Amino acid sequence: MAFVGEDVVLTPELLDHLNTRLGLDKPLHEQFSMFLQSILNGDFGYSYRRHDTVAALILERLPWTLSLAVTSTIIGYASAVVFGSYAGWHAERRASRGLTVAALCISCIPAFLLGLILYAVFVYQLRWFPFKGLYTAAPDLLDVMWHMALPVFALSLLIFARNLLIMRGSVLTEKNQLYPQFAASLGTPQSKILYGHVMKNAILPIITHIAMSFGSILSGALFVEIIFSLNGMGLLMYKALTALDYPVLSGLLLILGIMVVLANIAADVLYGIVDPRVWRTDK
Amino acid sequence: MKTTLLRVDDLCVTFPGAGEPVPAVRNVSFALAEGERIALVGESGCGKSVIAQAVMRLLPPETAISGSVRLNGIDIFAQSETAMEKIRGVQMGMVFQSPERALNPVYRIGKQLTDPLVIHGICDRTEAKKRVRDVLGSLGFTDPEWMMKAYPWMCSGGMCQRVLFAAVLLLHPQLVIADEPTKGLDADRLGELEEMLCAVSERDGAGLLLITHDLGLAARTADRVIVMYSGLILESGPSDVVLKNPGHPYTRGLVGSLPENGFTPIPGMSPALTDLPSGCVFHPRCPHALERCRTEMPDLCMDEEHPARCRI
Amino acid sequence: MNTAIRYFPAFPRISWKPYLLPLALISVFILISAAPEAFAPYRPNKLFDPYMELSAEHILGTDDMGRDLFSLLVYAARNSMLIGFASGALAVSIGVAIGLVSGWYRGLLDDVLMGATDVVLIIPKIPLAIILAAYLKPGPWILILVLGLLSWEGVARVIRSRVLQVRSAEFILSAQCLGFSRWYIMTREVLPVIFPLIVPKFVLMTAGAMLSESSLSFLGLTDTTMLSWGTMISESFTYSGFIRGMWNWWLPPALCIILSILAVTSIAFIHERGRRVVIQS
Repeated sequence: MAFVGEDVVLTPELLDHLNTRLGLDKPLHEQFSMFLQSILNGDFGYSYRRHDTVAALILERLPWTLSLAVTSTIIGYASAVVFGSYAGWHAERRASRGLTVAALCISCIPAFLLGLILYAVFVYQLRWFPFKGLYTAAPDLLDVMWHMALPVFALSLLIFARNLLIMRGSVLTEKNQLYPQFAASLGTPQSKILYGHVMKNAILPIITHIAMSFGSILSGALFVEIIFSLNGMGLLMYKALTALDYPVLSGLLLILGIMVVLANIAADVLYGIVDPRVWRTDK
Repeated sequence: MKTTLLRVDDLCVTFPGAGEPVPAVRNVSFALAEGERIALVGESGCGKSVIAQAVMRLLPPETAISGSVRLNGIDIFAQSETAMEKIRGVQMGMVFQSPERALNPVYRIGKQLTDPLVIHGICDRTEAKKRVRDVLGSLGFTDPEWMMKAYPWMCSGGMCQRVLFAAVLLLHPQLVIADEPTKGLDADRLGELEEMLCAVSERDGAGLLLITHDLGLAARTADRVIVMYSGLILESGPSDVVLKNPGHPYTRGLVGSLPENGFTPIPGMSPALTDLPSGCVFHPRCPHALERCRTEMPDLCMDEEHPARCRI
Repeated sequence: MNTAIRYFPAFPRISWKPYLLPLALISVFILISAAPEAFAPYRPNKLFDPYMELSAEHILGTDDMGRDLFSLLVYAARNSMLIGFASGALAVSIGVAIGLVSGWYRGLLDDVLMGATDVVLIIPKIPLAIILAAYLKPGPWILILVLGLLSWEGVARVIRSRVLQVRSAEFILSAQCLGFSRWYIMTREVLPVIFPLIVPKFVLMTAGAMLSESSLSFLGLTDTTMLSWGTMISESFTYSGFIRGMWNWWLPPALCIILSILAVTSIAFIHERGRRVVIQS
């Protein structure tokens, strides 16, 4: 096996040899099928910069990125549903209006900026949180939680802000439907109308939104990782970009695409569970 | 002398509207005795549904309401929301206009019918299910079990309406309000509807407030008729008297516009609530309008047997 | 008889007043981007002493090369505004065209177009934009193209469903019966119905494009000679402005980014509040 480095002269024979080996002399559609085949075998390519297979590189970092994204998603969506229902149901109260304005402002901050500002304040000035990385010496749970606290906070805050507005709007729409009035006319208490009847209907747009926004949650996670120097897929992408490490970039994009598709499927299934109208066979 | 079940005094309802306030209901007063059936008739937009919602206290919070509504002597507007939750359903119930939209699409019908029984502490869930099955059977459903497991969008409009009546029947309220029950119903279902309306108000001491624009239904079902126009009561009296011998030109016009009476429409259109005519509200369309109808608004005294808001 | 009037708290009337603040803010930004020479004290390339503190001559101090930061801020407005609004316009144009055609013709064309829309919808935008930017190292116009081409699917779907609703409305059928051409009907009858949807969507697309542009510039993926608020923050990072605690370098552009996106989004939000519609981003 021969490797090409700065101290090796690139002869034409070497170039030919590499072309054949990498399959670059074959027609495009054959190259594509070779690509697909190797994907199915788990071979995502090789990174010359990092001297490791792309698959290994990504696999090492995937759990961290996923845990950041999933934790933030759960915290962000749960709080958005709770506070959004309140803001929609009691829309005239000052607290609701305050929440709405705050959510609006926060949703306008790009992910990297929010991370930057939080970093500047809490890490730089106040020194409350660590400078970088996922853990100090070894992955101990509490240590990791301390390191990830600020990134998770940043990402959850963004998710919370955006979805609070959606949930609030959804509850406002449902409030004007006829069935909450009918339930009220039967003497159902307000809380049961909100949390029983209205919430189940109002949460449907949110579920759809999880599917569509998983892509943006992932990209938010990427930026947050870059700012906080967390060794996840975001940092890998950033370094691959500066080094122009194309195999890593293609592999990353593929994995991201697959994750988004899976999230969409999960959301579709969840929607079908919550809304029985999906099983309608008439029309 | 029968006791008064529902007493409405000088009720005025004004909506904030987009620019100026909209006076939907003005100075409405009437009394419903136990066992009595009253029909509120009028065109769309005359304010009858608003009265129903005001009585149930289901109007949105930004509405301006004045006057009083007393159910069995209880002042409805003075109650807290928690107290209202105990009154609604058990002492008064309402059958809504669009049955399919009144039911929650993501819950099964059985659950929606048993929930109010359990919430009001009337019985436990097993007993509730049994009662629901019985009531559904008595309303003509051949397979109550299927009905309880079904969702509202699986059922036709007529079926949903029977479900609404079932919900009301299960709680035995003293006052039943039926808001435009004929909307969206085929003509052959009208007979069943009238039966259901009589069924809910058959019990001792129950009263029915029927809101409709169908004069024939009002004549057949109700003891008394109240005619409304642009938020005002124009005439009131026993149903056969009002409809055979109307005291107000508007009622006369309404009766004349029925198909069996010649289908003669009343000329003109009812005014927008934000742009009401001066004096008598009906005078622009009245064939007998006098000069003073333009300036003076006639009074109405509801204590009379057959009052009419007209000078003629 | 009880004559007390009970006024429960009322919703505020929808008037033009709420639009004033965000519109004024955005107009200021647009004005600055149109005529930076009027607002900036110096040309952006004029060099002074580096790392100067805030002073009367240099409101925000200078950067590592000695350029006046306030002037940089003012001149950077143009690219940020331009890319935002142009991408928004592009995304909305494509979205409206596709939605209109898809909803009008229905059938196979509709299925094909909506399938394409679904594909674009699924692709995670920022990662794709990042990778495209890595390959292309784009200047403002390619960036506008890329961002515009990735964001139209939301618009297309909404327009298409509205067109489908309107398509079967009676006034369309009567126009067809009267013999008007499809083109005429589309532009004269259908477009006015769609217009209320277009404005908030355009505004939201613009906000999204501004967000994406600043993120991409921050990563250093855009043309290095392009001056925008995002690139200013990126430079403050790479040239150790952050480490040195030079908040005057990165905080003003950060605030400008946030304020411009906020102003634009508020317009959309206030508009939808008047119609009690869910905000869709």
